[in-house]
Amino acid sequence: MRRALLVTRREITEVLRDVNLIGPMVIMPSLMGFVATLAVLGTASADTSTVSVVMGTAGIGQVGPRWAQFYLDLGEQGQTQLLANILKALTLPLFWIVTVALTATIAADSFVGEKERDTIEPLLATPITNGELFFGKLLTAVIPAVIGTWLGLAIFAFGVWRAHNPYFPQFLLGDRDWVMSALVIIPLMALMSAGVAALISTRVATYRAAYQLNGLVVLPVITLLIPQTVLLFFITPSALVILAGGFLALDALLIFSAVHIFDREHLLRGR
Amino acid sequence: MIEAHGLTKHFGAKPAVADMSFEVGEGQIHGLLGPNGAGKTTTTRMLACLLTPDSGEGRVAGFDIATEPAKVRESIGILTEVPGLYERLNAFEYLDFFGEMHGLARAKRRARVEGLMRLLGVWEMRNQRLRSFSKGMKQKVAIARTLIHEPRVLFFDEPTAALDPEAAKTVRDHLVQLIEQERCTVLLCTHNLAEAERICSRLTIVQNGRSVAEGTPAELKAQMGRAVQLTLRTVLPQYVDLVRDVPGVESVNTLNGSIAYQTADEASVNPVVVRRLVEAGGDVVRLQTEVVGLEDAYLHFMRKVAAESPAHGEG
Repeated sequence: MRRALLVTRREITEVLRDVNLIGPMVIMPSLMGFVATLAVLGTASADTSTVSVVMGTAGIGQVGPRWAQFYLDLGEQGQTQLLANILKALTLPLFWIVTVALTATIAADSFVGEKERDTIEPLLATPITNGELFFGKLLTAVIPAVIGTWLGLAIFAFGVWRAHNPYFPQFLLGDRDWVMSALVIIPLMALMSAGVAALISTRVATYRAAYQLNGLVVLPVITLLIPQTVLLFFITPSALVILAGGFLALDALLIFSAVHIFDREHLLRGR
Repeated sequence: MIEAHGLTKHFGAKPAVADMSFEVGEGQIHGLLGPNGAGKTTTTRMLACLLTPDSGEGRVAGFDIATEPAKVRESIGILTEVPGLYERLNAFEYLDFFGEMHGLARAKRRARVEGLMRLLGVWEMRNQRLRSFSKGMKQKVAIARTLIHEPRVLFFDEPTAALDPEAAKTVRDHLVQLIEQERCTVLLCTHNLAEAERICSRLTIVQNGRSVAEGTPAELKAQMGRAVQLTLRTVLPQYVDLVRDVPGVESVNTLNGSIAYQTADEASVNPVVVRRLVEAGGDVVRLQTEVVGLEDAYLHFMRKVAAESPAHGEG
């Protein structure tokens, strides 16, 4: 795997020197961090009834009288916990979208951009194996995307720490769910997006086409947010473990398929 | 050092290369000469283990291209018309990366990078991003990349085709110097006849994915015989027809009051031509013969193939 890591190191060096790639990597997660921080600041000084009214648009007000009664019966402490869960379920997956979008940007450049720029032939003429080349490029897409997402999370964590919001833990990294999301779910989602990008790279010849197709990966992630939110709402933290298991299986399937379909000859002939 | 036996490759239904065979001895510079789409690049890519042949066998540096591709790739350097550089890196980083990919130790790698860059005159630009380099400079960096791991076999695919004449000459001179210095075996794909004649010890002429002739430049030219130029006081159309009708005469045309033709048997043909012209009333002033150029030989083989088979091929 030495050569795979060399490819990754070289490509990340290039990513860091291209404003078109590094720009979105910094701006997008930062914006997401700030937007999520606004939610924290907005709810920091509100009591549960105020928050309940605000959250009504997010579901409580639309669930019918039986669930409304259930909420009222929880009492002050239970309501706070429930609202905390809802806010977590709404903010935590926001960063997953960032991960998928960033991975798609870098993966399109790494897999397809290289053949478009005619740099693939000298690389293929080195003793690098198919597996090394594939994993080198996979890591190239995953590592910057995960680090970029962590940047957004860091901004958000700073906002949470400053806001002293009763519905968020003061130290985000002290919360098991946020840590699980940052260290397990986000890398797994990046891997999923990179796996899809690798599959797409075997079918398209231009960076633009690859980027647009990779962008479509964001759509299923957004649709996933609905069941994810419900799961997090009811069964946090087990929900994250279930989700991690699901993503792990999906990643394994995607990478297994991509490795088998990945064809260096196609990379060359597709120019 | 390089052996190709019956290499064949199809892209779709079209044969890009069909039954290509040739051998290149150690230290030789062998040219694959042919027009665009003749199959030169596909042949090179099969031998460099970048494409898998549909059939046929090949050995490079003693390794089988089908069963030992990794060893083949360790032993070769490949240079194409497009330098294919990572333009966000600087020249030193770029060459260092390829040295490391080939497993060179740090100290050797650094020494090798510096040595090649100094030789090619780009050492002073080592810290500049490659995107700021001119085409010629980029190709020099690509040459250094090709040689960084001291390969035994080099594949050059139209290395000067994208360059202006001055840059092409500089690159060509460096290539020759480096080939001599590194004692490599070289397969050079080109459609530049002058370049091929100057650099190559042997040539294979390729058309429609097939080898149509092989030999040293002198042997190929010898197959064409000699070019003859007959100067007459007056060139009449019937004189041209008369020359054309002589058996053994090829490629007849008129040029500045002369009749030019080619023949592989000047000893038999020229006396007949002169005799017939004199009998027809022509005043032969002068007869000059010279060895046919490689360009004429090349065009002869191309025309021969075109006459023998319908146009096909890609590559």
